[in-house]
Parts: sequence; C-alpha cells; structure tokens
Amino acid sequence: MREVEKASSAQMREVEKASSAQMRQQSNIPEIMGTKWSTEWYNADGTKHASDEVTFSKWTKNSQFEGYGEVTYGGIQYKYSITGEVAPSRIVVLTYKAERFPTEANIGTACLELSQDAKELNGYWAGRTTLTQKGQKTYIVRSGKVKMKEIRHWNP
Amino acid sequence: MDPKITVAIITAAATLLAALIGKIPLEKGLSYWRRRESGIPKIMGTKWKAEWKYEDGSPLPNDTVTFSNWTKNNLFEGFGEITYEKLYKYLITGEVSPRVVVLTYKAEGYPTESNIGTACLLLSPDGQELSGTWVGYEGEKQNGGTYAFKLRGGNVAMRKVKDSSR
Repeated sequence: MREVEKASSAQMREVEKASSAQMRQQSNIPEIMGTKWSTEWYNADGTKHASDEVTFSKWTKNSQFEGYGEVTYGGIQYKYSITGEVAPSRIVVLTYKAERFPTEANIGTACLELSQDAKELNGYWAGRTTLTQKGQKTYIVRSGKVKMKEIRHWNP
Repeated sequence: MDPKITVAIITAAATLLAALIGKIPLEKGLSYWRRRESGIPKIMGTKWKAEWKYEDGSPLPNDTVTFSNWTKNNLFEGFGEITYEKLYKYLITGEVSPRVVVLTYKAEGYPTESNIGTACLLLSPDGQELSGTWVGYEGEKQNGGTYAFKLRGGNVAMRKVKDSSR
C-alpha cells in the first residue's frame, strides 16, 4: 500500500513539474536556473555594501524559484537562502534571508531587470542591516543598487 | 496529584488526540508555535493606508494594503487595492521577521500591463506603522498614451487603519 502511495505522489510531482515548465514556456519566462552570479551590493550613497555570489538553483512552482547566496565575512563563509520569482517582463524579484549573519538575522528584498543577453541583472535592494553606534546596536532598513554578472551556467 | 498538573496532562492529551484525528491542522499549529517562539508580530487581519513615493518625492496614487492570513510559518498573503481611473486589486505575498516585513506585489493589468515589485518595511515599536523602501517595474505614461516600463523605487509609509485580529 505504501509503495503505491509513494509511486502516486512521485507521479503527482512529475505532473506538477511538467505543468510548471509549460506555464513558464507559455509566459516566456527566461530560463535562469542553474546559474551563478557575481554580485555587488551598493549603499544609497554609492559606496560598496558587500560583494558575494548568488546561485539560482531550481524552480519550485511555476515561475517561483529558490537559491542561495555565499558571502565571506571576517574570513568565514556564510550561506544565506533566497526565494524569488521571475516575471515575463524579465524582472526578477527575490527575498534573501541570512540567519545569524554575521551574528543575527538579516532579511531583505531585491528587484532586478535581466539584460537582453541574460548575462546581467541590474536593480535595487532594500534590507535590514545592523548599525553599531557607541556600542549600541540599532536596526535600520537600507537600500541601494545591486549589480549581478553571470559567471557560471549549468543544467539544473 | 496536583489538580493543575492533572488538567495540564488532560489538555495535552486532548490536543494530541485532536491533532491525530485531524481536528487541528498540525502544520498550522506548528507554524503558530514557530511564530510565537520567534517573536513574530501578529499583523494578519490588518488593513493599512499606504503612501508610496518615488525617489524624487513625487507621490503615487495612495492605496490600502491588507495582510490577510499566514500561509506557512512567518510567510503570509494579502492584497492591495488602488484606484487608478478604476479600482485595481493586486496580490501580495511576504514574510515577517521580528521587526521587518518584506513583501512582493504583483498587479496584473495595472494600468495596462503587469507590474511587479518588492518592499522592505520596518515595523514601529507600537505596531501601528510600517516604513521603508520599495522597488518595482513601473509604467510611465508617454505623450502618445503608451507606457514605458522601467525599474523605479522610493519610500513607502503605511499606517494601520483596521485590525480585525483582536
């Protein structure tokens, strides 16, 4: 009985996957899964906020996806999770969440436009960052530009 | 046995039994517990008057935003309502952390094509205001009446106008 249930749920997943792929094809959603991007995050005043690498791993449902970012801070590499959506208009929206990075949870969003050759993503980010003044930690929402360049592409 | 302990044991057993027979959706219960443990503010069932401004300070049409219900853990869904020649309703999905709300909005057919964007907002200590920044793919009306779409952004401020969670 359990074997039948397992086979049935695997079939359901395959059907859902195929239906999502068809939806993306019909809506002209750019195929950007299985890609790694060198990313530069800037503050509103133009100063660099951070540099890291972002990977778009796989589609989850329809045009929604998940991935992750990797950043080195103080010699230690941190990995943070990303979820997002790709629109037919070549806009990529994403939410990133970095638990305990470097010591507490950071969360934010970005909205980017994919270049015609699909090699660059340019847009803006906004997120919570920690500001330490006179030993006191305060949390603020900061924003700025973000630029990504594709550095690797493979079949997911 | 202490009557308080007896009551606690009976309550726990009843909850477990109810969960097992499906009276309480277990996932919903776990999500509620996770939000409580993480100190996630209860902002579902609330309506907010939102003021969106471009980077140069010029205003967009005001609208209202409703945070409807939790979907899983601290993820939620809701909608926005905006009057731009006629009333448009757009979808919102997002996530709440102890003081920050991030959301993605998606408006199909507003005003002539789909708009999509994100916002990141800080919740005031009294839970009555949200303020932050937004970025989205916005249509700008051209002289010929057509729309040129590009990424635009600015500030957004929301004030709670209705709370039906209490």
